[in-house]
Amino acid sequence: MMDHRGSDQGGSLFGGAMVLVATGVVLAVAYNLAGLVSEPSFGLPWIAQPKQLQELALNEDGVAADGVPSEAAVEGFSTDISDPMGVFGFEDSEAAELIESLPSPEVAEYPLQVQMSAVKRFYDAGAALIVDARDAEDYEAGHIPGAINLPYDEFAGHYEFLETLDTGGRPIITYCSGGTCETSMNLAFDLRSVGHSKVLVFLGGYPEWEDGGLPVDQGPGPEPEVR
Amino acid sequence: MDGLKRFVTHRWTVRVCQIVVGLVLIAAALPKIGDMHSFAAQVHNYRMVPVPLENLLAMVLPWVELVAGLSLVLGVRARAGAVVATLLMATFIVAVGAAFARGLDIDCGCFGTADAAQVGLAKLAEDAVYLALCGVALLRPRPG
Repeated sequence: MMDHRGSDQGGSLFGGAMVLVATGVVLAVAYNLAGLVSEPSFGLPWIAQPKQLQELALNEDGVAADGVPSEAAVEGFSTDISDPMGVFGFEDSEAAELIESLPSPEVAEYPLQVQMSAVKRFYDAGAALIVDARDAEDYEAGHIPGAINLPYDEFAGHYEFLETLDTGGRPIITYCSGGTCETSMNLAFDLRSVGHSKVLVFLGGYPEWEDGGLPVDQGPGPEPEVR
Repeated sequence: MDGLKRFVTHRWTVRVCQIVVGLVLIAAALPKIGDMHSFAAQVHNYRMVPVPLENLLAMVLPWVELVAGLSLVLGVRARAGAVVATLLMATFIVAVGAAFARGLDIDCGCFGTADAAQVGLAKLAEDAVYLALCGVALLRPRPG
């Protein structure tokens, strides 16, 4: 039963496997080098960078105004998130103006990060769907009033649901716990990838909102609307 | 049982399994090599690897698959290729299983963007079949 074909003995079997892996590594490095050098380049950066967000440019009034019209239609949408009908036009023309002032996706690489001043303006005008990406527990302990709760751990990768999320034609603003918390950014990328074009990320998060002395709600909040 | 063992360890059975596994690996590797950026995004979806390492993995994994696949198909150091294939398959099962358990509704990325298969039970079952074939591909065929 002993088979003395040398290259198949246990030790050199592992050795043989390592040779194959090493060959693969060498080929991969060579291929990527070729890719980085070629025109057009098809190589990957050796060290992947975490995603950086462009920031929404604000003018003196505190709102982006690049003159490019928003793609969101402003008729027939409700500013009231909990309104299941969603068929009322914006009563507040300021909301419509704010939404229209956002750069179009052709010009800006959404999701964009926004400062609290911009969030506050959208909040005051009811011009955005605000999404809390934290756990239900954190959400109920205190959240931005009117924000819906989409805990990232639950909704990550649930593209079908995210696609049907009804924003009422408004941009989405995601936030989480500020600091190094990445879930608002991750959720924003997921929302962007299923087709929501205007997604904004408030990196300061709930702590910055609360520290600003702004109103907060506790307990359960509005339910997400789906189309 | 003895008949089954005779069948499984027959040199033709082992060889066929090596070739099948090898072809699957080559088919899996080529689309990923052809579009490394998309594959890197699919790796990112799993959230299993530190972000700085994701591109290295996306670069290296398909070439290791390709080399192992070629060794199996061509019968050059085929058992070593089967070892690599088995390790790869075991890793994929863990990754797909973990993503599935976390409820991630993501592309498997198993064949890069060439297939639209999602992470789920069907994919786990498919990988289990491949793992079984790898097991046979690993065998030292009985003489005669």
